[in-house]
Order: sequence, then C-alpha cells, then structure tokens
Amino acid sequence: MSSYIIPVFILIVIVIALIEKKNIYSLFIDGVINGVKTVYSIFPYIFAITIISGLISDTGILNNIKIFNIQGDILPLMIMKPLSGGASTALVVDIFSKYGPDSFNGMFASLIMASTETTLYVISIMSSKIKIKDMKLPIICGLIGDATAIILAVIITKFIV
Amino acid sequence: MSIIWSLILIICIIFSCFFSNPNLVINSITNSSKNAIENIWIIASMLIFWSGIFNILSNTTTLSRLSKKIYNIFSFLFKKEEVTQKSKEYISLNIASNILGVGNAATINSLNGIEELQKSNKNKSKLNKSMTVFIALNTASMQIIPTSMISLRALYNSQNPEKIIVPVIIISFISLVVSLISVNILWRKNE
Repeated sequence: MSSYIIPVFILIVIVIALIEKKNIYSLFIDGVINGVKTVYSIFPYIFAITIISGLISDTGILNNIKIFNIQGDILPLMIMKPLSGGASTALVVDIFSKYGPDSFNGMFASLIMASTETTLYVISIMSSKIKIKDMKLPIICGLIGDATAIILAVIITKFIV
Repeated sequence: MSIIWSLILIICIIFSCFFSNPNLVINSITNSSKNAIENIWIIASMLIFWSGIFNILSNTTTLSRLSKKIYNIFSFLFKKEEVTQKSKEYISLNIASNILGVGNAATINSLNGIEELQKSNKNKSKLNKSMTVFIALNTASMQIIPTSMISLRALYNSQNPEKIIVPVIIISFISLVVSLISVNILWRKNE
C-alpha cells in the first residue's frame, strides 16, 4: 500500500500541472536550483551534528553510564535519537540482534525510534534557513515532547510485552 | 544549540583523554567528516528531486485551494497575522508529507515553510509564535504508519512486527500535544 503513495503522488502533480497548462519542465528546473541552494545551506549544520554524534558513539562514553536502572543499551539510544537518525538506527539494530525485537528492550527501542523525531537535527537544519541564533524555546519544547514519548514508551512496553 | 554542541564536544574529549584512548577523538572526527560528506549526497539527491516536484505543485492553483482546506484544520495552532498564503501552502504540504511518512518531501517543505514564515516575521532576529509552533510540529513524529521500523522488525524475525502501530500512534500524538502545550505555556511566559 505505502509503496503506491510516492509514484501516485508524482503522477497527480504532473497531471494537475498539465491541466492548468503550466510549463512543467522549467518549474522543475527552478525547483532543482532552489534544492541545490538548500543543500548548500544545510550542509554545515549536518556536518556539525554528525561530528558530535560520531564522537558520542565512538568514544563509548554512554556505555559506562547507568541511571534509573535502565539497561546500558537503551540510554545511548535515548540520547542519540534527537541527534541522528542513522546512528540511532544502528543502535536499534544492535539491540535487536542482542535481545530480539519482541523482547522488552527490543519493543522499547522500536517505540522510541518510531514515535520520536531527530529533534536537534531538525531544529538545526530549520535554523539554517532563517539565521536566528536563539533556538532555546523550540529545543526545550521538542525535548519535552521526546521525554513524554520515552515515559509513555516505558509504560506501554510494560503492558504489551 | 551552541551550548549543547560545545558541551558534548568537551565531555567527549575529556572522557577519551582521561578515561579511554585519546586517539579515538581524531579517528572519530575523521570518520564522522567522511560520513557527513557521504550522507549529504544521499540527502541531497532526494531533497533536490522533491524540491523540483514541489515547485511544480506549489505553482498550481489547485494546491492553493487544497492547502486552505488542510490548513484550516490546523489553523488554531498558528497566529493569523503571522502566516501568509504562501506559507499556508508549505505548512499544509509539510504536515501532509509528515503524516504520510515521506521524509524528504517533509524536509524540503519544512525549510520552504520556515523561510516563508521568516519573510513575514516582524522581528527578523527572533522567532515568532507561528514559527515556534511550526518547528514543534516538525520535531514531533506525525507519521501514521512507521513503515521503516516495521520492516526493520520483520527483518529481525519479529513474531508480530505490526504490533507497534497502535502504541506509536498513541505515543506520538500525546507527545505532540505535550510539546505544543509547552510551546503555548513558555510563549506566554516570554511575553
């Protein structure tokens, strides 16, 4: 089902533009030019985020911290998810192969991964377009949302596993 | 962001110098830089494509009519005087692609949307409320069916990979509401 969404969507866009007699090709080219500029302006932010998320996972700093009796594997995921989608997927894969996806850890990891966003990554990319330095409010609100999701994930996982 | 970034950097460097191997730092930075360059190609390729497609769409009159309808559902979140017609279009496209889980399309529309909101922002060096709400919508997960997580679970022989759908909808919805409420509370305090 979900594999139809994208092709059908592109088809609809082209058909609508044809009906409205737009110059589809030149509009596409304009959009591409804009896209290239966007990539150029977000790259420094992606670079900066990748450096710190790499440092966190490579130095293994989180492997030595244990709080609230949370097993060592989950905490790195909770800290990594707001920073990087790729690095947190790698952590989930690690948890799945250690405990299996239907275990408590596996279920908890699946829920965190699927119901939160890469908050800090999103905020830093969005800030690249507007040149506003003070992002305190969205960061706080985004992290409050993430914390809520983590607490709910613990409760729900206890019920269904 | 600056505080978070430098704090993580400082902690990691101190940790590896005193408790582990200092060589890790430069190895890690070299690797991450390489990763960042590789990742930007992957992100760039789809982002540029979607940017082209959405530029076609955003120039049609059908979209401006349709986006009014989608926007009306969410209009209570935004301040009327801060949102122009063009930004309404991007906001509704962004919300729609977030819900469907088309991440790259959501990214390009979030960037266009925030840029458009900034154009009508009175104080250019400070976020207004609609921008904060828009960022909060993007930092919460709105995808209805977490397809990539389900396929990852299936790949690791889960007995029931779809079991996460209902919990994920509940969790994402509540956490979205909580972060929107906190935007409202903190915003009132700021004023």
